[in-house]
This record gives sequence, C-alpha cells and structure tokens, in this order.
Amino acid sequence: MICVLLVDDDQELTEMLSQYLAREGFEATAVHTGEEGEVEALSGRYSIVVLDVMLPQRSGIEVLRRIRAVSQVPVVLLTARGDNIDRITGLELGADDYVPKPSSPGELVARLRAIMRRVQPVGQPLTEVIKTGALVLWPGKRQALWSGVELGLTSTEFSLLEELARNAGQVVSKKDLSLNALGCPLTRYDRRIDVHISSIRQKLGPRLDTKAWIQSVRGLGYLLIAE
Amino acid sequence: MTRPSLLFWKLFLAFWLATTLTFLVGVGVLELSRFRPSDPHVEAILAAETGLLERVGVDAAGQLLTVWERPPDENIGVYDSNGHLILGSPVEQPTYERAVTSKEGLALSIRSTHAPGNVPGRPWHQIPLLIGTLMSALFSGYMAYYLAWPLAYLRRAMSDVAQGRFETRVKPAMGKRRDEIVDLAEDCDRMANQLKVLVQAQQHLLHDISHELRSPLTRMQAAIGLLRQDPARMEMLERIEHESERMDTLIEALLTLARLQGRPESIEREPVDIIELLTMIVEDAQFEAGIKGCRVHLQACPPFIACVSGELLYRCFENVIRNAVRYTRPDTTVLVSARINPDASRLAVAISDHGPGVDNDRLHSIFQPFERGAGDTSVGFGLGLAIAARAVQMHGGSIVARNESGGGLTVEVNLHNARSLHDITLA
Repeated sequence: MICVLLVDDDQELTEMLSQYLAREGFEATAVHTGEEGEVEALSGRYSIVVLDVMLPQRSGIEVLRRIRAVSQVPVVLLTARGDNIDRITGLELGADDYVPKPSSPGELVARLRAIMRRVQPVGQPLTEVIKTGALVLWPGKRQALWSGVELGLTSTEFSLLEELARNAGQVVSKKDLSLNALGCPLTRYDRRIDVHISSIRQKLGPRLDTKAWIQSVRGLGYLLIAE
Repeated sequence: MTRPSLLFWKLFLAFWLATTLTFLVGVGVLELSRFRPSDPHVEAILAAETGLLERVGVDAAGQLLTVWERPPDENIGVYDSNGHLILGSPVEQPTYERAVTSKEGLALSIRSTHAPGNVPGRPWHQIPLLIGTLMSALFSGYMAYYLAWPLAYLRRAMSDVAQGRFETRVKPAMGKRRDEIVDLAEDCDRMANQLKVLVQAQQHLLHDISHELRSPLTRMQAAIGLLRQDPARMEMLERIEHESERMDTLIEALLTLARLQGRPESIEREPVDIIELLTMIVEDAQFEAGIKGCRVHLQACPPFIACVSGELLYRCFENVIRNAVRYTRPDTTVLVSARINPDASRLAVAISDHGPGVDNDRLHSIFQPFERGAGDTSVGFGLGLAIAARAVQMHGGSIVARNESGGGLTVEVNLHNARSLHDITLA
C-alpha cells in the first residue's frame, strides 16, 4: 500500500480524491492547511505528497520550500491550469511533477504511479552500480555520489541523471528522457525536463573549464560529459 | 528628441515668419522714409538747366536758377571743375550729380540735394538683414523646441501607457519647469497610475474568478472519476449537478457585479418603498433562519419611498441579511432596524448578527469581491457583500461594517430618498 498525503483546502475534493485513490490501491490522508501539510509530509509516514499551490495562509510553494529544506519525499504539485510561474517555481524548488487543476483523478493517479515506479524500481538489483567520471549511482538505493559526496537529488532528478549516466557521452533526446525518466511522453511546451536538468547542474557544479557537466544540445537533447 | 516633430516645424515656421516679417516691414518702413518719390519738379528743372548750359550758356542757366522758386530744402548748384560754386545755391550733400559741358566749353557739374527719381539711393544694407533673419531663426527654433519638446515626450509616454507600460512617468523629465504643460504631464502620470491600479484589480479579479470556477470543475472531475470507477455510485451524479449549479450561481453573481460596474445612470429606477422591500426579505430569511434555530427581527419605521432599482436593492439587502443569518450563532436573533432621520431625507438600515464578527483590518475589504471569512471555503463565493456595496454606491448611498462591542457584526446601509438622478449625483 502506498501512502499518499493530500494537502488541499477543498475538503469536498480531498474526500472524493481519497475515495478514488483508495480504489486505485493508494492509502490517502488529507490535511487542509499548509502548516499541517508540512508537519505531516515530514513525518516520514508518506511515500508521496500531493500539494495544492493555492492554499490559504501558507502557500503550497512555501510549504514545498520548507519540505525540500529537509526531505526528498516525492512531491506532486496541483497547480491552476495556465499558471506557468507556479509550475516553474515549483519544479525549481524540487517538486517532482505537477498536475493541472482541473484534471481528471485518473491523470493524477498516472503521475503518482510514474513517480512511484521511479522511486521503487522493481527488479533492479540493489547492487547495480553506474559509474562515470566522478559520478557513482546506485539505482536500487536511489543514491548518488559525486566525488564521494552525496548529491541529495529528488527522485525525478535521480531518474534523469541515471538515464544520462547510462548513456554518458551520448546525446539523450528529451523525448527519451521524458519517457524513460519521467514515465510519460513529452508534450509540447513542456519545460519540466529543462527545469530539472538545470537543478541537477547546480548540484553538480561547473567543470574546471567552467562549462556545465550536462550539456544541452540544441534541438537534440542533453549529454552528460564522460571523463 | 529623436526627430523634430511636425509641431516643432509648424511652430518654428510660424515664429520665424512672424519675426522675420516684422523685421522686414520695419526695415522697409525705414527705407521708404528715406526714399523720396521721383520729383517731376526737380527733374524738369535739372533737365532745363542742363539744356540751357549745353545749348545757351552759363548766363542763361544762371538766370533760370535765379528765377526758379525753389522749395526751402531744395538746392541746385553748378560747380566748375575746381569745385567752386558758380551758379545757384550751395549743395553740401548732393544726391544727384551730373557732369555737363557748357556752350562755352567749360567742364561743369550740376549738383542737387534732391534726385530727379530713378536714381539709386544708398544700397540696401544686406549684412544686418542677414543677421536679423538668422537671429529670428534662432529665437524661433528655441521657442518652438521649448513648446514642442515636452509635448513630443508626453506623446511617447502616452503611447507607452497605451501599450500597457503603466510605470511610465512624465513629470520627472520636465525638470523645474512650471506651466500648463507640466500640469498636463502630472495629470497623465496620475492617469497612468490609476490605469495600473485598475488593470491590476481586473487581473486580480480574473484570477479569482478562474480559481472560483476551477474549484467546482475539479470537484466535478473527481466525481466523474469516481463514477467511472464504480458506475453504481449514483450519488456522484447529484454531486456533479450540485457543482454545476454552484457554477451557475457564481456566473449569475458575476454578471450582476459586472452590471453594477457601470455608471449610476445606467440602471432603471422606479419609486420603491424600501421598508416594504425589507419586510419581504425578512420574511424569506425567516425560513432559512428557522432551520438553524435563529430568528430575524425587523424594527420597521414608516414607509420610505425612494426612486431606486428595486431589484438591485433587493439583492443588496438579501445578501447582507442572509450573510448575517449564516454567521449568527444558533438560537440568536438577527436584528434588522430601519431608521429615518428627522427631515425624512435619509434612511439607515442596520443589520446586526451575533456571529464571530470580522477582524478590524478586514472591515473594509469584506466588500471586495472574493473576500470571505477565513476557513470558509465551502459556502458562497464572497461576492454577496461586494454586490451589496456596489448596489448601494450606485444609489449614492454608503455601506459600512463594524464589530459590536458585545460581539457580532453590524452592517449599516445609508440611503437617501433621491427622487431623480439629479439628486443622486448631488448626494
């Protein structure tokens, strides 16, 4: 059973979503304020958090910022359709994905499943190691070391870096990244990958020649420089 | 300034033409006063004198000058080759001089103080003329620039504003200048600021509206999802119906609000007894209050007839009274008291509940659209009081909210019995 935390001030909605998620094999708990949401999300009881951006008093973005300060628990944002600023800010702050409001609960479940597949990969031996340059990845443990230092990646960032590391030195198209790392096909005007990559770049830091470790190849995709 | 404006050239040409013409006319008058028209008298005398000298001799010519009745300021003299006067009167400053050889063979010259016409006077002085024209061009250029520059700047600023850059400010660019153009610039700045506030309010409102419409839509999506999962859950259909009704109510309220954004002249008015109106609303509200175990009590007064839109005021009082019923504690009374002032020109309706009241800093903002009680997400949209406030303002009245010392909120509506639109605009 996957435990989901719903943070949304709309009580009728969370009640219906809880029922829906229950039938899809999730166990959902709902809270209705940002403060409660933050406390619950950090309690360690939940595998994934669904966070509404438009919360009264403490906004969802602020709650996300506070969660990310201490925890890498996967977070899916519920944002208003068309509110791109919320989306980009959310992704930059380390949200794993977003679901526009209004959209069907089926869409939400699909996104949750995609993230859970990444976090709990089935059939991957815990001992598998990917090494390229200073980077060491253990996909089974979702652990990433960079020159021996833990990178602190979110699950989405880990999946993207894993995909790039498996093909180190080669260009991986955004289409493949979206399918293999995010678990959904690339849509038009989709900025998710770019935002996540920019976040990973910051965590890796610059190379000696001041270039980034992950290069963007215009029109093609991204490339992790192999040493 | 990138390129001199059309106005600059017009002003420049106008000033230049005006100053140059004035200058030229002045010079012309001066020249004309110096110029004597051709004098037939002098001309005839000079011709005769010359003829006599050439054909008859010095004596005859001398006799002519002696018998000539000369005007006091006209002198004609005949000088010999040594410059000695031999005939006539002395001419100090000749404007006419002609060499003649007399019958006797003497080389003489006839001098006259007055020219016989067609004789070029002193040449016009071209240098001062040129300087004058140039100076006037400089002056005109400066004046035209002084007037046209701020206008050109103002124009560009306005086109900036028209393109939505409301932070454009003109006044600072005007420097220390003080005149009507600067006043205009100030007005433009004020207008830009007002536009900015209005546009922001509109965007805010639009944002709120879309959020409010999205919430029922999201719940509908969730209900549809549940129905898909389990087609037996027919109660979800009711839920969808309920949400669509909510959206309809919201749209209705928004349209009312939009109608109330117009000018006071735009609503239809008729004489309405407001006390009768209140009685009707209170009766309707009794039912709703009864469910909660509350009462609504009306302290009425004699009829107060005013020329108003009955429908809008009905909505206004209904919203305020139903709001009071919603927030008042169970088993309390909502008091609606109407008072008319001594000269019967104004009506004050106070609606008091026994609810939690509102924070003092929100007493004004509760009349803004989409402002509603904290933690109050399920009931209403926060449009009721906004509609009430706009409706009262459209009738030239006022609406205020205050917390009562004993707890509870009082909303007071003040109206006057304007019988015509004229009274409303006066109020």
